[in-house]
Amino acid sequence: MVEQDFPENPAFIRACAHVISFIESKPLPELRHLTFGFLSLLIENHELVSSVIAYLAGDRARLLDMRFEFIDEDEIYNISPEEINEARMGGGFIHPTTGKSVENFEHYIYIYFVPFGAEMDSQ
Amino acid sequence: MGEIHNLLMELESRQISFRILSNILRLNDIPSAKGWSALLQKNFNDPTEQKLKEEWGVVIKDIYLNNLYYGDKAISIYKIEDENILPLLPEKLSELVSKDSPYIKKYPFSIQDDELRNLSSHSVGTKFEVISSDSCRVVFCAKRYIKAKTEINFDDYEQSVREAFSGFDEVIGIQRGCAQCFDILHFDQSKNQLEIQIDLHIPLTGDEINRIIRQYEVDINNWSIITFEGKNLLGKPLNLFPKVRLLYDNPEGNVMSLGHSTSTASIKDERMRGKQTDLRHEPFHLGGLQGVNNLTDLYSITKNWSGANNFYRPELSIPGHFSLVGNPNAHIFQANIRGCVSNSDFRMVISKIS
Repeated sequence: MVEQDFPENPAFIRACAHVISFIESKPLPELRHLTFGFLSLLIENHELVSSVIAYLAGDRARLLDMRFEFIDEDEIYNISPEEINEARMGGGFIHPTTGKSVENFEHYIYIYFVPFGAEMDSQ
Repeated sequence: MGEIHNLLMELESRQISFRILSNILRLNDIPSAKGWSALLQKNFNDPTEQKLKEEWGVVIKDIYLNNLYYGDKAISIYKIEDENILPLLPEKLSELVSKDSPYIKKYPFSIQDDELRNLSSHSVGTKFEVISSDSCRVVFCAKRYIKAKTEINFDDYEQSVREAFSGFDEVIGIQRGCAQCFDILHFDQSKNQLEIQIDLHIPLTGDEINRIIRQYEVDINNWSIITFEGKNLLGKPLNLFPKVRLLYDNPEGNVMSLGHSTSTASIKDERMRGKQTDLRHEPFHLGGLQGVNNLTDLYSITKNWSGANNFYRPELSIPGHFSLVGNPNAHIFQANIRGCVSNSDFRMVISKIS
């Protein structure tokens, strides 16, 4: 599929292939929390990192699922994409424990990736 | 403002997890909202049926009481071995309640802040309650100090102040306040044990918790010497250090964090990101253990178990320091229990260590 989508871009195809073969070669427990930094280690051409991740996490490839964490000091909370979308649409972000609105919430939101369709830890 | 609104304000002041509260409200078909601000603005006095409103009030009061009794606590456990004292305890413990407690008029709710500010910090026995045929509790109320960090906005100040702080990205102010805490002396006759449970709805350091528990020991033993003809009721608390290994080895529940010291001279503080996964199954942890042939000494652990619903997991933490592993008399006298929403959750967690 990557070859069909990017026939003129062998470097991009190669980078995608690296990530795909890595994901396919590992059991799920080893792929529970893939950070942007980790995925960039798999892609030799650093200029392609963002576009490769965006493609593999996009609606067409659906290989990676983007997940969100809210980190407040030592506490880590998984946040659903719906909550993030609502906050970004201007609805504000509410701290899961204190129940209070968080100023500059984007500052405390971090993304990571899991294989598409992996179960989410809701707590 | 109605009764439901007042109950919610009490729950907010006790800093109950909003996510857990929302889930319990929804479970009981009570409307929730996005955050405290929206929830407190909800009109619960709307022309809903009176009966429904009363039912909601009962449920929310129950949530409040469960949080008061079984919310986050630090605990020390004491085995009572004196056969002469044991049968007398349930009745005698009621004497720890002071008739002059300034907290009783609002109990189980908190007194007003301005009144609290003028009280001493010493805890006061406020209520004796029979829980079941073999358990009872004395609820102590105490004023404790809290510090809150607030970001100071430069834009609220005149030019000279803004210039003075121009080199800083953020300026944080510390506000001191006080909160009413509800500590519990719990007697479990079936296990011959007393538990001192310290209210953790405000943050306390390990040293602060230790100091508070030692003060309770002194106060209770002073009372006991008079009540039980010169005998101390409380000896040393149960040593929880050996429980760290037992909890780790027992396959049930999820290990969330572990502190251990390896035979290869490294100190590991390992932690899972979520509550649903178990460190003991994590490949890095397993590989590390294999690398040192399982030769590692454990000194701290946090473990959780399923709750009655899937939106929470009661949690037990035994906080230890790596220096403990070199000590043949290593002891940890206190554990922290968090995330319980009912008596059965709380007793389930305590049963893991006593």
